[in-house]
Formats: sequence, structure tokens, C-alpha cells
Amino acid sequence: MKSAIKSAVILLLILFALFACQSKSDYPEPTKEFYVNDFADKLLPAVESTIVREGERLFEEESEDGNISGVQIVFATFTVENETDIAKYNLSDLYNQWGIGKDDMGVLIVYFYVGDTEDPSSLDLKEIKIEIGYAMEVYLSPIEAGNILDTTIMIDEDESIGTAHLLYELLSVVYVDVFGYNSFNYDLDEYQNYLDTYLPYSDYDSLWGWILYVILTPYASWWEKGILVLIGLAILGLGGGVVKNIGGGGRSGGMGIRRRR
Amino acid sequence: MKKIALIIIGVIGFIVIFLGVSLIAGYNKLVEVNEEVDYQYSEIDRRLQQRYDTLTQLATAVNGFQTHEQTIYDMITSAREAYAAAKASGDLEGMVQADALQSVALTNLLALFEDNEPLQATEAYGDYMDAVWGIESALSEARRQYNLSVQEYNLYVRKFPGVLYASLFNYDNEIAYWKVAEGATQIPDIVFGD
Repeated sequence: MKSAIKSAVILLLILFALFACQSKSDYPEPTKEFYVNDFADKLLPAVESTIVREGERLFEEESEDGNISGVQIVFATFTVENETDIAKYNLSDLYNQWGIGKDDMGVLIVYFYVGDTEDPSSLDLKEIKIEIGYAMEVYLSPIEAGNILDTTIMIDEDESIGTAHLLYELLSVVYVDVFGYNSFNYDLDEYQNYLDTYLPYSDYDSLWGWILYVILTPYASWWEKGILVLIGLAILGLGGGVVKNIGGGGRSGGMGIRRRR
Repeated sequence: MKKIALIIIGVIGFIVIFLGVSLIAGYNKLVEVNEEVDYQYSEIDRRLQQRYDTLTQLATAVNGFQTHEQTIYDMITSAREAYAAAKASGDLEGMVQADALQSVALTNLLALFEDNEPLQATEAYGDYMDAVWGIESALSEARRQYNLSVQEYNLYVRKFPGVLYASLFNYDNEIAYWKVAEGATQIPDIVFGD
């Protein structure tokens, strides 16, 4: 009898603990790269790599007086079956859940693709939204954000170039207006060359995919497989080779802009 | 006998400590939820001020393009006076009223923009619409966050033991939600790029 009561109490405690730990979040957790969250699987690996690389670099930037640092520009893509479903996404909630930018210095860009969610080729980019962190509102107004969208992703024929163009224009605002740089230069023709010559195994995820492929494929020799097993173990031993970025804890309050295509 | 006295003292001590800790934790939680309501209220206030600035800019833009300027200016002036009076008195109903007046003035201004082709042709037109969409989106979010904080407060002070703490420390047992006229919470459907 005593043990039955004891078991019941333990069970109740476990249930209580599970209930207390229940997540209230409505949106997926960000990816380990943090700066790019391509849930629609529509961005090219080269573009994703650029967003992450530039994001990590920007996060390290600090103003001369040391008051501003940890600025984050984050991209996300979502799929919806029809355009009315886009209204179900509250970008402030998403921004706050991910905690973008230290001291509210962040920008969230979301692409909404509409179509058959099971078939990526049927998905069309229909709406783009920009959510601006509280402190970032001083530097990036809805007017400015709207103008940036109008001159980049809204008119660039190629979505990859358009996305990079959008990223570089936002970086330009941050580096010049926030960090006081004289200018921020980029060359889209050069970027097109980068896209054309991008090696798909130059980031961590693809590298692991390639290592696994070579280990499992019957076309690789045993010594190749052996070397890659050793390299894989060495990377794991040095910390897993997994880069994990996290949000700076920022919040936003609904300020932003949207465009429909 | 001595043992029983010790047990009684121990039990009383435990109850006193338990009550003391509960009281401190309950009071702190009360302060926390109340402070959140105040913070969210100040956020709406800030956004209303921003919207008023946007309204003023829009009114300047339509100046000279239409014949009913005075009506629009009167509307904006009424909204500004209502907002200033409500802010001075700290009256929630007055602020909600000022919010509604601003919404009416804004809707009328947007209607003027829609009816005015030369104005739509100006380069600044898109910028004005972006400013309106941005501030309406932010205001809508501020209202939602305020109401969420009010909901949390009201639930806390109505449930046990929050109801005891609210009464003990003389806190309101209910805070009113920010209720605006139907349609006023919706962001104007300004569509670009179609």
C-alpha cells in the first residue's frame, strides 16, 4: 500500500514536471546556423553560406564607444498552402522567440512561399516581410526597409541574387548608420561568379554529407574510406565541427514592412 | 514534554517561514505582472505618439492637393487634443478614445490619398504608405501585448493565492483591456508590388 502511494506521488511529480516543461512556442526553433532558417528549402547553399558568414562577422562588430555590438540579421523561409495562411505568422512572436540581436539590435527577414508544401518546385515566393528590433528602429525605418525591398528582391529576376542583394543593402545600413563606416561596397557581378563557382562541400553540413557519402559509397576505395573515418573522428574530437550560433536575446514590437509579389 | 514543545515550536517555525516565503514570492509576482502592464501601456503611448507624428506628416503631404483640408486638420487636432488630455489624466478610456480618433483621421487621410491621382503619382506616396503600415503594425502589436499582460495580471489576482495578495497589498482586482472600435485594430490593407 505504502509503495503504491509512493509510486503515485512520484508519477504525479513526473507529470507535473513534464507539464511545467511543456513548450509554449508556436514556431520552430532556429537552426544551429541561426542566421539562415530555410524551412521552405528554397535557398541555394551558396546563399545560405553567405548569410551565415556575413551574420557571424556582423555579430562580432562593435561600435567605437563599445555601446553597440551583437547586431544580427536573420533570414527565414516558410511554406504555406495559400496566402491567407501567412496572416497566422506573427513575426514579433517569432522574433522574440528566437531573440534576435543583442539589446534589440536585429532584423528578421521572412520569405513566404505559397504552393504544395510537399513539392518544393511548385512553391512561389509570394510575400516578404521585414521585422525590425526595437533598438534597430532608430536606424532602419519601414520606409527605408520598404525601399530596400523595392530595389532588391522585388525587382531582381534571380531570387538568389535578390536575396544576396537584400542582405548586402541591409548590411550597408548597419555598417554605415550604426557603426559609422564611410561606405559598404559589394559587387553583384562578383557575387554571381561566386554562385557559379561555389563548391557545395565548403560548409560543415555538406562536408559531413560528403564524408558519409564517400564512406558508404561502393565506388570509393578502402583507404579513402579509412582516411575519411579518421578525419571525421578527428573533427568530432575537436568539438564536433558543429558551429552553433544563438540569438542575442533581442525583442521587437511589430515595426516592419511587407511586400507581395 | 520537552520533546512535544520542540515539535510544536518546529511546526510553528516551519509555518511562519513557509508563510513568509509565500508572501514574499506572491508579492514579487504581483509587482512583476503589474509592472508588465504599466510597461506595455507605455509602449502603446509611445506608438500613439509616433502615429500622431505620421499623421502630421501625411496631413502636410495632402496640403494643396484637396479641397477639404480644414476638415482633415480639425480631425487631427481633435485626435491630438484627446490624446494630450487622456495622457495628462492617465485615463485608459480616454487613451482608447484618442486611439480611435486617430484611426478615423488616418482612415480619412488614406481615403483622400486613394482619391487623388496626382498625389499617388508622387514619389513620396509609397513612403507614406510604408510609414503608415509600419506604425499600424507596431500599434496593433503593442495593443496585443498590452492585452496579454492584462490577461496575465487579471488571472493572477483572481486566482488563489493571488487574490489574497492583491487584496492584502491593495492592488486592483481587475484591469480593463484595451478595446478599440471594430476595424480600428486592423492594419490598413496597403498592397505593393501586385
